[in-house]
Amino acid sequence: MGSEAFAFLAAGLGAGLAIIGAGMGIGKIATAAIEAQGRQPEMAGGLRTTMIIAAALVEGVTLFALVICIILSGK
Amino acid sequence: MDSTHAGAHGAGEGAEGGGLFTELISHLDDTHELHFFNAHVPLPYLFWDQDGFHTYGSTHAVEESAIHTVGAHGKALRKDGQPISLDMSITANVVFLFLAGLLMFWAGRAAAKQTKKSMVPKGIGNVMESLVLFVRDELVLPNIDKKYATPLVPFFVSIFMFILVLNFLGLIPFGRSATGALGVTAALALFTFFITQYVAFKSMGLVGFLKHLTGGIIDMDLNIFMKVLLILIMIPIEVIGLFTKPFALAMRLFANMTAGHIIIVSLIGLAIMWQSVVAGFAVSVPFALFIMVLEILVAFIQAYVFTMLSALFIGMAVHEHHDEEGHPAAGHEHGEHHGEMTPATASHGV
Repeated sequence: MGSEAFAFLAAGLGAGLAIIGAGMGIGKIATAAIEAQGRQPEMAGGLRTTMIIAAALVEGVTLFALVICIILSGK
Repeated sequence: MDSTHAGAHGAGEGAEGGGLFTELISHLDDTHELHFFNAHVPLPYLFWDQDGFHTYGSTHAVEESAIHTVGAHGKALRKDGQPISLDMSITANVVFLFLAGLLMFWAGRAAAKQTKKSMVPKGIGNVMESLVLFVRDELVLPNIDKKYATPLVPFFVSIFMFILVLNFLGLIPFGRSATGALGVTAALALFTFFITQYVAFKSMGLVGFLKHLTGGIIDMDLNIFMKVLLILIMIPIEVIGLFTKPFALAMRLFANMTAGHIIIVSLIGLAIMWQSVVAGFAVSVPFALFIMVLEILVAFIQAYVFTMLSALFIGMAVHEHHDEEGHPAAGHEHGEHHGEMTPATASHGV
């Protein structure tokens, strides 16, 4: 296979793997947030904010990988 | 979104390399003209090269000139191959940067006039006041020492509003988000970086700053051999961390904005590729609409996260050394400061 084919393959695989990481990470964050909200409903507002911040950070890291995949798919 | 232009390029055959996808993404690139429905407003080229300063009114003018020509992405090039020293052309991103600044200036001015008229805030004054109070009470004061927080609140309000307005301008028809350009987000992250270092030097002095770079090891009560070993490990980590934090800030904002737009362009490109109006209305429009709504949320969240992380980094730099009970090894990004939310902020709700 030529190097172009490998680049496309790598881009697709990389994007899929990155999304697995993001999905699992954000799922764990949401799990913890929901559990904590269940235990202490009066803290729900602050917990929601923290969950969104943590999810944005995890997603930021995932998008680094995605940008590399996009660069690869253009080669 | 100028999907009509994507249609003009036809389906399937695209640019070299990635083909259709690369061509789709090229619609998100910076352009030297503004698009409005079918009108193309040309934007001026301004650049310095070895012969001095040159201005051209449009891409057409550059193509017709004697010494300059147009290269990829509409960039100005010299015909004889010499490099251009500094290209300050007004591109679409620059126009939207100025537009965002203008909008912020008008909003601020209107709010100031309203505040002078009556003590009770209403209208635009109310909006600006709640914004400033939000940034000050939720983002700056919980993270930064009071002494440095008060002079820095305008910086954080400006960054928050600027990123928010820029992100939103990308969602209106024929708009583009300038934060989708790595240069813009890198510039904003550089501001955070310089202010962090300035505040760190000012609060700790040069010696304190170098001690901070060892991560608090130098003040710990340890065997001298252990100390030297740990310092040798900590200093590279801390120095690299000094640069990765603004880099992550820039990349996060850039990637979030660009990824959203790529998804939207790809979904609309589906309808063009299948060349079917039914598929367009059945598939493209609903999905693209959903992603657009998500993009509104992402615009807010990214502005919030950028400002909050900047406040966090500056707060960590100001943190007076004798207050620390020792740094965790590399745990800079998340965790510690989130627990310090006061009850007032917990009941504030989102």
